[in-house]
Amino acid sequence: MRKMQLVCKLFLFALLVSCGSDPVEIPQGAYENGVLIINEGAFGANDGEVFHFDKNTAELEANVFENVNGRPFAGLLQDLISYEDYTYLVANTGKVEVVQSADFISVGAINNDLVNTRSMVKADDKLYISDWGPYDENWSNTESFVAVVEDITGGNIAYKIPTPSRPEGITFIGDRILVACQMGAIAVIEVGDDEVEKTIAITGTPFFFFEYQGSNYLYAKDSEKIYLHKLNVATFEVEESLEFSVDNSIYNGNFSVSNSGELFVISNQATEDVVVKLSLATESVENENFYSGSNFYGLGYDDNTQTLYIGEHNGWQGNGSVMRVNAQGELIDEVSVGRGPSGFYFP
Amino acid sequence: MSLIACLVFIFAGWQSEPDSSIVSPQDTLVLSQVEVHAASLRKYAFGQYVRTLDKGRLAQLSGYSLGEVLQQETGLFLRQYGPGMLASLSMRGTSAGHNALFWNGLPVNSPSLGQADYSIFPVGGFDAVNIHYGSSGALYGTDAIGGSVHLSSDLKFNTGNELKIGTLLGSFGRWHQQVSYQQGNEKLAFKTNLYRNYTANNFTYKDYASPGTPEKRQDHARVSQIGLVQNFAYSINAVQTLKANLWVNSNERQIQPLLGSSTNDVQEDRSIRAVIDYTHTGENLTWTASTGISNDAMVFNSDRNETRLILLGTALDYAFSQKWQTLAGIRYSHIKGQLATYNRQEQRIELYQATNFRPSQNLGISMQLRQLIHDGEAVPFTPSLGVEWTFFESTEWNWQLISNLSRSFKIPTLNDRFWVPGGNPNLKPEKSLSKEIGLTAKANLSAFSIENRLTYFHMNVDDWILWLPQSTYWQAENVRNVVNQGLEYFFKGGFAQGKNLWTIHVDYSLNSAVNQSGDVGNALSQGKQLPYVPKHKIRTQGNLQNGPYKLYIQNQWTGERYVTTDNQTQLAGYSLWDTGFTYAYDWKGKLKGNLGFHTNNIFNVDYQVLRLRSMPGRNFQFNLNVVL
Repeated sequence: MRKMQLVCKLFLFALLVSCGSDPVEIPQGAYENGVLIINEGAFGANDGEVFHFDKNTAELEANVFENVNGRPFAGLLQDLISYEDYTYLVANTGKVEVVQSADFISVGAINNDLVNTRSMVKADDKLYISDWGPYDENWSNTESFVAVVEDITGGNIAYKIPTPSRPEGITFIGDRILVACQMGAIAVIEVGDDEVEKTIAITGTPFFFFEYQGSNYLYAKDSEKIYLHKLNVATFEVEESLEFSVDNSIYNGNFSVSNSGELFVISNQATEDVVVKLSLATESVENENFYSGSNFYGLGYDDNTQTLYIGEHNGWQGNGSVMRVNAQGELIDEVSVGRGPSGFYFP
Repeated sequence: MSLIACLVFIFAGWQSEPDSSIVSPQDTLVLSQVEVHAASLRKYAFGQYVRTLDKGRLAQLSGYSLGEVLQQETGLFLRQYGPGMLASLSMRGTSAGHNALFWNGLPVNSPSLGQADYSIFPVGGFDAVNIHYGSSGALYGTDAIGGSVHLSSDLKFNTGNELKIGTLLGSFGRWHQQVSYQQGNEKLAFKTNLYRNYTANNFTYKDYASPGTPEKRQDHARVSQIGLVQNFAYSINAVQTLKANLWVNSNERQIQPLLGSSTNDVQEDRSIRAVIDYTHTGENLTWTASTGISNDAMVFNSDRNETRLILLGTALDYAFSQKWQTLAGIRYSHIKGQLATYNRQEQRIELYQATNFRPSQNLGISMQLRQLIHDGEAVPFTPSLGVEWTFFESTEWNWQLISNLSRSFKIPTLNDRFWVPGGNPNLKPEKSLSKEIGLTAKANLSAFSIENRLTYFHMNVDDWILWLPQSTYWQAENVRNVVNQGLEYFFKGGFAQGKNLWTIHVDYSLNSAVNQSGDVGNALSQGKQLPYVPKHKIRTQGNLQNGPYKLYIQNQWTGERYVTTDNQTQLAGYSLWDTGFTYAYDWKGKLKGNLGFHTNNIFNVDYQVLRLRSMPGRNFQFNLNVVL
């Protein structure tokens, strides 16, 4: 009987503590710190995967999705986007896998009617997914769309919003969805109406939206230059365009910006690949050859440790590797990862 | 369909005749053309193994593709992209382009791709399959680095009339139909064969790309194939023969998507092949003159690629004595490619010579030499030397030691050299140096007969071509160096117990294919096994025959395969069991044929030959052949 009373008291005490106003410390999940490495995978093999790198111990966990879920990711991993509880793995082979951010356990997917999926954004408790749509016989994408899914853990597509060709990066500003369409335009979608309200012509091929010091920018490029278009927050027209002379830059989600406005981009040159460092603050190319090598494919910048991560595809003949480079452009170490490391996410 | 089913069961009740494997009581052994073809393949190949697949078994597999037959019936490994989809052969750990495929002596590897898709060669297009294990470039020319496969037609004189109707019905919408008619007197023989193969391929599979791995039904893997084969032979006189073979084949298929993809690709392959052979057979001299054409068109979605090969050749085979025989020949090839991004024509001339020396009854030595001139430039000179020594022979036992040393080569494909962008006209031929040594033992011990063959091979393949990414496109380069070595073991055993004949066949191959070069800076690949080359594959078949009845069970075990060049990911091995029953019937000599019921993948094993390429589970087939 005494034991029973003790148990009841302990239960009551636990209940009081849990109902108190003190914040409850929830331990971070295994994948909510460190570095998530996006390995795109090879065409025709669908072997995209996420690797996890522990910055403190330099330990690498391979094939996180398959390890946790007991099945392969089975797609080409184009983008990884995380919103608190859920992380979205966007495959350009036509699906989005939804996993819990803490432990990567699969909770759902969107894999019906997606074709060539590029990126996504969450807005108004819905998912907006950019998709190139099918190729026609001239290898054009004339039926591109943004797919809308009304359940943030996946499920069927509720409806599709037709867009200009090849929608790529997508963001949510105010009450509008902005879509960077590779044919040289921003498509503006009003959330709720969910149709393209207007399109805005852009210099260069637009790819990706980012925020810096409270302003919204669009990253675009052509074979000779990189353009950073500053957008008017009300009209979304281009307010100002910064131009940087960088030949043959590539974009695979490999764009990386630091908190202090330093941008790193990959430039394919005749005999080597070079990481070029740009500065938003000085609006100039700060270092034409920050780091050079071969087979560069992805970049990520970790502000906490001021470390640049460079993904190498190793000629696509096998798995790739990742180099860590410090702020002075010196190699820290190199680790073998998955196929085609194209980007990095720092939770 | 119901009519066919009725016919099937009516025919099933008819009487039987002994099947072809039962020995003929004739005193004189008459070789068919196929056997003659196999003998000619072996004649200058001392020290190497040329294997003929069982013809009776092939008849049961009518409607299968060559890829399915080799995967199921041999220790060779084929990279299958799904049932009925692309199937490429790997022999002795080499790549798909390092094996030569011939139909009636005509090379049929695609000149643009440098390899053959073994899934689009249906068994209906030929009567026999011979497999030459090991490097044989000096005998056959380009591509034969790992080995070669020879398909041939069988047409005999003095056969009278014969009408053969065959059908095969199977799971997943498989339906094969074949009608052939042949007529032969002492001067003239011809055979016409029409076939149609269809499979809906609507098998169920686990969709590992979706949460919960739901079971789904394949809905985009339909294969439809139709073809005509016309063989003709004319005996001009006692020493001269003229033969002609024509094969028209059309293959349409939906390309089965990779798990996780929802592609809707379609592919059509249409080919026309024709060969004319003239043979003059004297007392000591055989003169042959051949010409042939192989025209292939492949349409992938809307992209059309077409290649044409025209061949002219002549050879003299002369026996100086029982000890010395020699063969000398010349071959001219004209190749034309009209591909999606380029047009190209080129010429090749090959001179070859082979000599057999038999200093004694128990020792045979053969030497082959070949020089190919490719668009005016000589490719590496290709010699080969083989020895076969019977070091112990008694009434019951025969022991042989065999050895071979040979060079081989592969001319870079048209795509490797001219595809826009990335084709590299400066590519060198891939080349190999191969050594092998083996032991064979044959025994006939009253009711038992056994045959063992064990071969160790070592091969160095250099200037292996890979497509590597450059600044804006991929380009073909001579970069890889690979050392392949391993073992091949073949066992045949037979035991007669009254009317029961028990036989067992075992094929085992051990293939180590190690990348020495690391593929230009990719150190992770150096010293690693090549992807999709299983180190082990064992195929075992046991048969019990009693008169016209035959029961078989077979197993195919394929070991782990690495998925990437750095060996960090591997695909699990798998073991498949098949069984079947066949019955050869004969109804008063007026109607004969055979029927069979087969179950493949008895234990419904969920397996993938290549990663994320679904394969079917348990399936059933019924086949019926009627001869009138």
